[in-house]
Amino acid sequence: MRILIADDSRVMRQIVKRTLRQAGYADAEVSEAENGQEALTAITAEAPDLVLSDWNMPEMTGIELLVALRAKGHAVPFGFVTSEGSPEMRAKAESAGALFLVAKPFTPDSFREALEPVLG
Amino acid sequence: MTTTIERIQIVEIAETVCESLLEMTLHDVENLAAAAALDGHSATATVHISGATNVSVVLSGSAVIARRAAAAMFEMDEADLGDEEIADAFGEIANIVAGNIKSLLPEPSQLSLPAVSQGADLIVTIPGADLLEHVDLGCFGDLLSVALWSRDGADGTGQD
Repeated sequence: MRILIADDSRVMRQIVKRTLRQAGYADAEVSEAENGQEALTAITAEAPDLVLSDWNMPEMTGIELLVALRAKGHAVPFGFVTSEGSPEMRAKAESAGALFLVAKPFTPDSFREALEPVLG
Repeated sequence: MTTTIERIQIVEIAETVCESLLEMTLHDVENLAAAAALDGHSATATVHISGATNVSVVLSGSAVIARRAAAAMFEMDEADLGDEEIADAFGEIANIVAGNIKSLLPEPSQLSLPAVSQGADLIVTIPGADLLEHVDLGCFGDLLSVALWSRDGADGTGQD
């Protein structure tokens, strides 16, 4: 199982990886991108099983990444891991095609709850 | 637009964020002696919320707090941390605090990326902004402060 983490913060990418292990996904092959543009290139090349993306990033935001992917016909499962968890943001994420939105700060339990329906 | 956010909401957000990221409990230290000790701040991270409400969130802490927080978040020894790691970690704490505060404010609005400064006697100035709330919290035996500044101004236009 391959998971791409897109976040402009190196420490947050590290915390997401740590939380994935704690949530039971220690076997996942994890790759990283520092912004949406870098993630778009990586997704096209690597075809991951899941994308975990921050919302607010330089170059290309998470929602711009998701819209660009769907416009290209790319159906990769996509979830947000973001500090912004308001109902409006969740609705915007869902309407763009995101499967879930995990709000920061998060726990291994909240990761498991979001990822299990997607990855099993 | 009037911004209504309670002091206790800021305290709860900061406590939740730090318990999760740093695995530590913060303590509300609302007194003058504590405020006077803030003079030695050497790290600040500012995140702007812009839209229906225009608010800036400023996180400030000593070099000790910033370094210890980064060490906890990176799971690294403090001695191995550089300015880049400290700025990344401190900025991410501010980003998460601001994102959670944004969720309490009228939508739609957007969050900026965090701007982090490190140095001696830092002063953050946001032209035309009014202080809404300032919370001091005990963290790693030192003080961490969260300040909310309104940029909406008396005419409510949100123009800086």
